[in-house]
Amino acid sequence: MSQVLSIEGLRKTYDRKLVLKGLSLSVAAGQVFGLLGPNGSGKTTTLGIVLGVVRAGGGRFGWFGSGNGGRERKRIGSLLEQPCFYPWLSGRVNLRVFAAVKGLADASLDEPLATVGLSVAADQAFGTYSLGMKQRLGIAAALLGKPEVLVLDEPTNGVDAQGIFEIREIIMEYGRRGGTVILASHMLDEVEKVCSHVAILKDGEVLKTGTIAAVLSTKGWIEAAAADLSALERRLKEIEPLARVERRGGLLEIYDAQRSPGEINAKLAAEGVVLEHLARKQPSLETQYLQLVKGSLS
Amino acid sequence: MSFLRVVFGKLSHYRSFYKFTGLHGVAILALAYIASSFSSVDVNGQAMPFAVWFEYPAAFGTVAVLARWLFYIPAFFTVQLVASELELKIVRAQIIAGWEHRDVVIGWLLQSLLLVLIGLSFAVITVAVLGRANANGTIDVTAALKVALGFVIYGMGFLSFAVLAAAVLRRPVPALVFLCLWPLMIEPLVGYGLERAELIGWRDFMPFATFGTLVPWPGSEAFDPASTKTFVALGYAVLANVLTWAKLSSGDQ
Repeated sequence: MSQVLSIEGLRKTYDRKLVLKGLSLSVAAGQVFGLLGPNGSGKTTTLGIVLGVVRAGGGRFGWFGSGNGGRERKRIGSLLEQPCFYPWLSGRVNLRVFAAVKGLADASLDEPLATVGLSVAADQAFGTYSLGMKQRLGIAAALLGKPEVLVLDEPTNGVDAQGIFEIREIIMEYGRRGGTVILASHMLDEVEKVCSHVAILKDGEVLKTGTIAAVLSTKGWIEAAAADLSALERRLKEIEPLARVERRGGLLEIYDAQRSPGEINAKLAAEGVVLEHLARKQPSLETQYLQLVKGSLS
Repeated sequence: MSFLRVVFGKLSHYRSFYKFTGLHGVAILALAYIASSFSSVDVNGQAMPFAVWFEYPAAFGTVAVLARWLFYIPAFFTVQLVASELELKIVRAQIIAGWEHRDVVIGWLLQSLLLVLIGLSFAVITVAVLGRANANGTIDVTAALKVALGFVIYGMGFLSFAVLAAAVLRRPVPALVFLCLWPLMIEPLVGYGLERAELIGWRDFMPFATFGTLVPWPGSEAFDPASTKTFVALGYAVLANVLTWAKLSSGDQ
């Protein structure tokens, strides 16, 4: 799969504070790639650098395996932070101006306007738009000329619930058609629903990157209970000598077990231990993400 | 073509553009009308010396000088528009959409050229309305074209400084104040300092002093396209645009 974006050792300093500490990641064609991290983790700065509006303090990056200039940016549809348009121009004329900037003289304006549900308000001045409408126009501008890559920074900011649903649908549909999407968000729920791959950022560094399933999953633990919990604990330590067994209320939690719950149950049953409760448990994605950004996950 | 599309797109639906250009046209015509009415007044039975200033070909030069005084109007518009584009992060959006920093400057240059050509059109209309045939009944097209060339270079120089002021200061009011203070106070003060330092004649080569020589009063030294001052003025215009580009390129948008 060809590389759409590769970033190596990106660094950026604001007021002597290092906000990007040698950040590296790569996005392949066809991925819906999430940049997930809390506010101030470096998501927008990273996108600002790769979109040519923030100067990097070090490192390098390249689009489509070649350069990082205007020619490459014209192949990308982007919405970085808030949408910026001429307030006195209508949505449609603003799109026409930006189509000219991108060198898309003949680009259809009706299609992106219809996609984001702005056909009716297209001839109103941008300055009269609500926050949600502005955001929709920003996405329409990003969709101009059907770009190869969509780069969206917090695209559902200020949008109502229906709008959020529609924007997520647009992104997923884009991904389903084989387009590459890079989506920055601090909302785990959004990234989880929309993205195939993710990089988790914290303090200007990538903590983890890979598929959503690989990054946001752990082995979890096994819960077990029996009438005599102490006897069960002793037996478990014999069966699973390498596992960590912890008592929590009326339950035992078995971490790093080498056997499956079924195997453990069979072993215990063979030794005459009857279980009252046996279950595999996994932390919620939210818990895993929070553990990850708090640095508490090994 | 894409540059022209962007410039026409943003200006053609902008009410302030019509207000400022309309004001520029009316002001040129009104000032020239007032001046021409003075020129026709006899004093003690004798015509005033400037009575001939509205006769061809002097009328071109006279109206050009009056129109250059009024160049603050398109300059104010330029400052307001450029500062707004920076303040509203539209320049940032244009770069994200694929423009390089130099493309932004080229867009502003074309916008300035459009404003200068509109100003020139108003000046030509004013000459057509108020100009009088001379004794020979000729117009002297070459002289008129020379005046037009000087006017265009003057306008591009002036507006390039307006763009630079807006790009550096990023707010319309400080940029406008700077633009007013530069030719009226800063340049005379620096010129005074240069003369005290015995750098005699250097003040004539300061930006606005040099631009002024491109559109001289009729009767004074005529504009010479091949003169040193013309090249110095062009150099200042280029320098202003290079500095604008450098300012845009040097920091984050």
